[in-house]
Amino acid sequence: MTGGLLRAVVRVVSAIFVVLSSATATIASAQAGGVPLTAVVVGDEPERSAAARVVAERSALSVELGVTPLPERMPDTRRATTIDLARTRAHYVAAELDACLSTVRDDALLDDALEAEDVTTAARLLFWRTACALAFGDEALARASAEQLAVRELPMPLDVGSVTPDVERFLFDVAAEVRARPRAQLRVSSVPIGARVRLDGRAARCTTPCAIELATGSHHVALDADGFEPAGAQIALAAEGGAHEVTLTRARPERASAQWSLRYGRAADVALDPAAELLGVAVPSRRLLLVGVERSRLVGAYLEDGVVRGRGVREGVAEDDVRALVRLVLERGGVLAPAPEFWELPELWIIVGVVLAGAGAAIGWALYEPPVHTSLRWGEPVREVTP
Amino acid sequence: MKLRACSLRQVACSIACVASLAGGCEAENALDVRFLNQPPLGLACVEEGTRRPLLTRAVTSPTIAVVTDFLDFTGSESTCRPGYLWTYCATEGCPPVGPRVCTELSSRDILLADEPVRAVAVSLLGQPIVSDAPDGSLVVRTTLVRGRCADHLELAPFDDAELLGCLHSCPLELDATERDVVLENDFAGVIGGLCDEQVTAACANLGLEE
Repeated sequence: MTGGLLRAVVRVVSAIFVVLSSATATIASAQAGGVPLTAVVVGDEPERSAAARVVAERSALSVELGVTPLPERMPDTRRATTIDLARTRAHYVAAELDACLSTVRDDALLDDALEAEDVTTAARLLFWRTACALAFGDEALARASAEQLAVRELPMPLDVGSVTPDVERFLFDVAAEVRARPRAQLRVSSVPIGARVRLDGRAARCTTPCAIELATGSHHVALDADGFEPAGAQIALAAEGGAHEVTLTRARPERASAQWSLRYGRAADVALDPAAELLGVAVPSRRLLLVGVERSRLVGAYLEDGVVRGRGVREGVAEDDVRALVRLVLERGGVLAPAPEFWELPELWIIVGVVLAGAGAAIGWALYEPPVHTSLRWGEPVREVTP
Repeated sequence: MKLRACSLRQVACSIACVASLAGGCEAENALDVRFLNQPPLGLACVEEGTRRPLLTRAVTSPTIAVVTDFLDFTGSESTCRPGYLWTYCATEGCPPVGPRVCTELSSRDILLADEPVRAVAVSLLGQPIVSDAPDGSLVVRTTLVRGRCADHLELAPFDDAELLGCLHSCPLELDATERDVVLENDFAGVIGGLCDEQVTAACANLGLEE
């Protein structure tokens, strides 16, 4: 009897918990209210595709999740330096000085080489321009070119063995003059700050805002920041110094995608704020969900207006793990209200109240002793029962 | 504690109560009150001097009042020894509870009967005593006294000269009792062995004396 009652109580309590769990999910879903989201899933195949399918399925979260791929990476816009300096050398050796000079006179070629961080080509171009100009008799051009070689501190190319000694001496004399001149300060700043500063085709010297001591003269300054288009320019640094200020423009999605692949590219990087925000530029969306699929775990981030609002990590890459991660990240991002604990649900207390009232009624029914009215009347006398 | 006497009635009543919580469920318990012995000894007591039955005193009154009291024995032991009842009332008190109920018999009918003592029982047979007896542990005491019921409504000691007989029950809870209530008078064994005026008065004034 007691065992049966106990089993019945356990069943009732279990049923209550099931009802409460369902109510929790329902309430949380209702609170979400169908917010449109863009989702990007990154990682290695086939896990990435599997996770993307789960993210894209219409879930109980009541958010409209559209999965989109990363945009195609922008091709490397740095123009390949296609200067045929071998032909220049041939013209020089054949004393075809006009042709020699014409192959290296264009400044755009130098810019391209510096933009492409092809320091060797830039140095060789200036070297041959100096040599051709000297041979041609244009000493001013030769000096300007030799100065640029020295001012930019470009390495002396191996081609120096192919020219006459006077060219070599000229180059070293100009370099000595440049080294002898006092250096000047170049202040570089940008909006936003933090851009990497490349100078004369070399790797980053500093990040903005910063000041660099340089030889006076012409320099190529390039600024590069994640999420922004690179900005390169030729500047002339005077003896009193100078300033270079640049307002960077927002990167095109393809550029941001390329930057992300170049700088980050791993699924786990999704959890890093700069990487996530760079992806936010690559996939412009007011509300963006990022899911990185690694071999045995998932990482996620939620961005709103390009700013990371929530992130999460979950061990496992099964479908349920993907759903759980999405819920976790969206809850932390404030898109979904966290499912209230079951004891916070008013329904719980209503049910508890009903159960207690029922139990009270049952106990009362079991223990209730109705008032008894005893009526008496005279009956037949009874014979004494003698022991 | 579950009332054994009413258990079946309670189940039925409880079910009715669940159906109608405000229904004012009640259980009914009907009991017969019976004199022990035929004729009952408590009505056969005699005057000490004349040895005439006390019941013959009724000849001077047209009516005999049959007065029934319910004496409070809450907290008493369950024993029925007259000595204990006497001592309990003397020390703890056993005041009447609930209404005093009374019925009248015709003295003529009783005294002219072949067996007056038996005639009392016959006359009372089937008459209701009370529709809702008091609750709790109590002793039912019935006193036969000269006069009308109206003369004996006051809960005061009886005039010994008016007493015709007295019987009492053992302490019991009427609401929990299924068996009939049996009345007797065993005070004779306590007081002196003879059922006389003194024994009758001891029974009749139990719980009434100041």
